[in-house]
Parts: sequence; structure tokens; C-alpha cells
Amino acid sequence: MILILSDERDLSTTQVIEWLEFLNRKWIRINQEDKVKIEFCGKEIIFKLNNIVFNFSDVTSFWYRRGYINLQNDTTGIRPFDEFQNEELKIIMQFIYYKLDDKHHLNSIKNANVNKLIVTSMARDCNINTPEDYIFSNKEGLEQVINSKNTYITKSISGDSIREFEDFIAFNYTSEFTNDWLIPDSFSPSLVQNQIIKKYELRIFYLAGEFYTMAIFSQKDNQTSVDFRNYNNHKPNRRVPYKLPLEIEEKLDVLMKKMDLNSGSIDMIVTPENEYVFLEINPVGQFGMTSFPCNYNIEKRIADYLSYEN
Amino acid sequence: MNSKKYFKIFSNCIIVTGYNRSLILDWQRNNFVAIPDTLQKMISLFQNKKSIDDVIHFYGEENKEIVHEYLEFLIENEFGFITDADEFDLFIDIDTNFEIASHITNCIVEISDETIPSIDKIVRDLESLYCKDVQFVCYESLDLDTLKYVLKATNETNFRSIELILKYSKEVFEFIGEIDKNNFRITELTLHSSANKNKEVSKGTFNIIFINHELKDFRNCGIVDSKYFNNVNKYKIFESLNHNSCLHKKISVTQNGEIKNCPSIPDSFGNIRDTTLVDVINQSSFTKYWNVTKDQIDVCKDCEFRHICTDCRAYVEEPGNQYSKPLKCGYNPYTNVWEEWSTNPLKETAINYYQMEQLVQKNN
Ligand code: SF4
Ligand code: SF4
Repeated sequence: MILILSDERDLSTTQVIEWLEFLNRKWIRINQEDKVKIEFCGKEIIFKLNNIVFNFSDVTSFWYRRGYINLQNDTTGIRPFDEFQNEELKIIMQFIYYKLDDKHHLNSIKNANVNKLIVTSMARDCNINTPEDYIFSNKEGLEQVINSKNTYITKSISGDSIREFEDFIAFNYTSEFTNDWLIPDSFSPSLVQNQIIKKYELRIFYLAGEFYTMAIFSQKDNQTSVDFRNYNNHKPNRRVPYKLPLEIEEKLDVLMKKMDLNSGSIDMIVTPENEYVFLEINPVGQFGMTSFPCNYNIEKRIADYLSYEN
Repeated sequence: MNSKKYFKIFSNCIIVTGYNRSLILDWQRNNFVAIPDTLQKMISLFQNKKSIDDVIHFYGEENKEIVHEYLEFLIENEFGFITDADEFDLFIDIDTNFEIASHITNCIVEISDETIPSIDKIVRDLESLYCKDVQFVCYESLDLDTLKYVLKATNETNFRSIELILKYSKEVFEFIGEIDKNNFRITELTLHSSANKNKEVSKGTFNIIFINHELKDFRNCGIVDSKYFNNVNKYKIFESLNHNSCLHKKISVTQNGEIKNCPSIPDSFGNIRDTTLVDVINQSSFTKYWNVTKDQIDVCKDCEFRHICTDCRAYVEEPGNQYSKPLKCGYNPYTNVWEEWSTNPLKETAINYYQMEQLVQKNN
């Protein structure tokens, strides 16, 4: 049986499940919204959620898509007891996640969030080109490094793009950094990078050693030239299948293995000089936007991968 | 290093070559354009990795301006881009495989006294085949109880679309506002026999279409017209490149309960009373038309519209010839002229064969 951990709204999970159904595979999807109860019987663990009951030992493969197991436990109402019980359960959950990673699996909760700064540093160690990172929290330092020859961009360090305020939503897009910005003397640490001139962007889906790469032409449109998540619906940018040079694939493969990730979305830029510059990896990123335009049918490839029985 | 410039078509623009001209099918932008033969030939040189200089050389210096004009047209419309020799090969062709997680994608059920008792069973079967789109057609007036029953039977399903084609009656017309309360999955309602009837409805959650004439059977189907070419989508094109654009993964239950690929095709594979849809699709002859592509059809194989067109196999110009052109098409790819098909003297024999004389007169 294939176990999938996801959230309610994830369409890609549903599409992979359609393939599992078609291929006649048994599967169970746990959403982070589901309240899960766990019972222990010696060496066996029994999971209960929404009228579904299954044994941990029946899980043959595991897909960590996103989210977490929302464990419900009976509390006593006595604080010290409950706190102790919570601590105990935390350790048990850790053990369960560990055992899930022991099975044939795609991704793991331990790598759900990657640290952008660490990843970029690891990429450099793998001889992959990256932009230069600077972190500043005051104006003085910023002005010393920033020179007028290059252009710079600022982006969020955490990768979280959307913040909801009381009556508006701020989309934290990557934006170009210009001289006329009013900069206070000190500010919260911000990531500044030298801007890479791009010929086109690459969105690469990595699946157990295979690369599904898409080139995105967005330069034409000024509106989207900094970050293509600034969608322009009217005229979609061209998105076409692309084959990475072997040398780049090999380096990325090393990086993914180093990070202990067997799946994820990688963003790169190809410069007018045909340099490949690494931007980031998102282990739980959307792949539908790569799968559809390139007809890669990644949903089916994932279903096939999960169906593999050893 | 080779510093020559090359040109490449974006691989999501598919070029379909016809007898006199070609189409660029731009499914990413749901659009197509016709291009002259000369441009198509030039594109194929570029696609075979001839550099821009080579192509100019091929056509001669005196035609340099024309080559540049063509290139400008292609780049201006974002059908392709300038590249270099090394990069050329990195822009790989798109895989045009058609893969879908359904054994059956679409189904037509003719509602009649014979099929009503089996509706539940049909719906269950379709669900187990992961069917996406279902169409219920009824030629006679349908009483409200039966309509409610059909709505109920399909309410808890996973179908992507459910279309109803019903005969106009006062009862049904007045019930329109209640339909989505009984079944919120209905995507389209068509009322036939609605000449001179009240057609004022408020906007609801689904499309409503009125057809003036009466539908007596399925013989109205299969009309090919350029107005149906407006939906240039990936699934349609890729399915057409690999399979029959109408009959692939289709199943039908006719008025008599017979299970067929399409209601208008004579071959029957059993009655819904005593078999299941699942058993039927496992009979190898059931899928006989599924892999007949437009590239095999007389005339169509020379037509630039062939991969955005529907390939009707039920009504063809030469009944008895499996690869004959669809009867209800008035297009001639050798002259690029559209004409009325129903009055074409060459089609008279076929029209008589399918007993469509009356139908043809009425529709004109
Ligand atoms: S084969 Fe012809 S009649 Fe049958 S469904 Fe297709 S278009 Fe209609
Ligand atoms: S000739 Fe064939 S492909 Fe062309 S429009 Fe007519 S039916 Fe369609």
C-alpha cells in the first residue's frame, strides 16, 4: 500500500492518485487537515483517520508531498502529565517519520523546508554557479558593497512569498533594487544579490535521478522579466521542454544527493553567455506547471515510481 | 565554436502540413494560423538545423528579403526564436504521447424506457472506468420524476462534465432553476424542439442551449465546420496525433440498450441488460476505430485542419470504406474552399444510404 502525506488543496496529489487508481494500486492519502489517531501494539502501529484503519507494516512506499501528520492524543487535563505525554509523542512521531524514510519513498519531512542560504552555499561547493549573496541590516554596509556597475535584487530569505495583512495581501516578489529607494539607516536583515541577466529561466523537476526541464522565455515581457511568478495571463510566456547539458545534470545530481532529496523543483537561469546559474530548490514545489506545458506527465512518473515494489 | 545563427520553432507550436498550405497549432495560446507552403518549407529547413545563412544561400541572395520577412513574422508572433548551434539541440521536441488515467473518457447515453432501469449501473461502470465526460440524450419528452432520477444517479460522481440534451417541454423548462439544486455537476443543458417556445432563462451555473428543430435520433451528429475549430487544446491535438479524434475511449449506450462505440455505428457489443461496460471494452473489436488517425483517412490526410478536426467514422462519403472522409464535411483541402456538404451531388448516394434526406432538408 502506498501512503501519501499531503494537504487537502493539493491538486497534484489528486492527479497522482488518479494514476494510482488507474494502475490498480492501493493507496492512502493523509492530509494535514485529517485528525489521525495512532495505536501501538508492540511492534505494530495502527493508524486511524476518517474511518480508515491501516497498519504501518502494510505501507510499501511513502510519498512525502507536504504537510505533517496531525496527531490527536487523549489528554488528561493535568498539565504536567500532558506535557510529558506530548514530549513522548514527539519522539514517537520522529521515529515514525524515520521509519517511513526507511521504506521506498519520495522525499521526506525532514527536508520539507530547505534553508536558501545553506542550499546556495552547498551549490557553490558542487561547482554550480550561483548569484552572490549579501545580507545587510544597515545602510552603511549596503552602500559599501553595492556599486553602480551591477544591478542588484532583493528577495525574501525564507522563500515565503505571500503575507496577509489585515486588509491587503503583500506578495513578496523578487524586485529590482534601484538607487531611488528610500533606505532607512538600519532595517531587518535582507538578502541582496547581484542581478543575473537572463536569456531564459529553467524550471527543473528532479525525480529520482531523472531531470524534467522546462525553459521559460519571459524576457520579452517587461512585466515578467524579474520574476515570472508575476503572472502575465494574457500572453503566457513560452514554456518548452529543454535538455540540460549532461555536465549540469551531473552537478545537480550531486547536489540533490548531498541534500538527501530525491525529488524537487530547481530554478536556474541561463545567461546570454550560456552560463547556468542556480537560484533555488523547492522540495515540495508545484510540478504541474512543468508537467503540463512540456507534456512530461510527471504525475504518472511519480505514480510509477511509487508503484515500484522491491 | 560555430557563431552562425539558427532559428527554431517553439516545440509547443505544432506544424500540420496540408496539400496547399499548413497550420501552426499554437495550443499553449489556444490559437492557430494558416501559413503558405513556401513558409512551411522554409521552417522545415530551419528545423533540420540549417543556419539562417544556409537558408538564405539555399534560396539565393535575391530572396534574402523574403527570408527575413518570414523570420520577422515568426518571431513577432512568438512562434520561434533565434538560437545558436550548441543551444539548438537543447531545445528538444515535445513528446506528443497521449496519456490519460481513464479507460473511457467520454460516454453517450440515450435515455429511453429501455435504458432508464440501467442508469445506475451505467454510472457505476463509468466510474470504475474513470470516465470524465458524460452526455445524456433524450429524444422524447422526459417526465420530471425520471429527470430527477437521472440527476440523482449522477450527483455523487466524479465526472468532470455532465451534459443533458432533452426535448423542450413546459415542465422541463420550468424545472431549469431546480436542476443545480438536484445536481450541481451539470455543465450543460440543451433543449431541442424549442421553436417558438419561451427561451427566457436567468443565468445559472451551467450553459443552456436551445435548438429549434427536433432531434429524433443521433443522425444529427458529426458535422464538421470551421466554427468548431476554435478549441485548440493540447489533449485534443495529442489525442488526434495518436488516436481517433472522436471514437478513442468513447462508449455509448443506445435507446435499445445496445453498447456501442458511438450510437451511429452499427456494430453492437451486447445489451446493457446482460453485460457491463467493463466487459465490453475488453472485447478487442470494440476498439477497432480507436487508433484510426486522420493521417490514414482519404482526403483528410492532405488537410491542414486534420488535427483540430473531429473524425466521424459513422457517416462517411463512401459507406463501407473504413478510411473514407467524413460525410458531413464541406471542406476541400485541394482548393481550400468550404462548401455546403448537404447539397453536394457527390454526397447524395451516401446521404441516401444513411437515410438523411429529410434531415438535410430540414437543417437547411
Ligand atoms: S463517430 Fe460521428 S456520429 Fe459518432 S459520435 Fe463521432 S462524430 Fe458523432
Ligand atoms: S477534410 Fe477532413 S480533416 Fe479537413 S476539415 Fe474536412 S473532415 Fe476535417
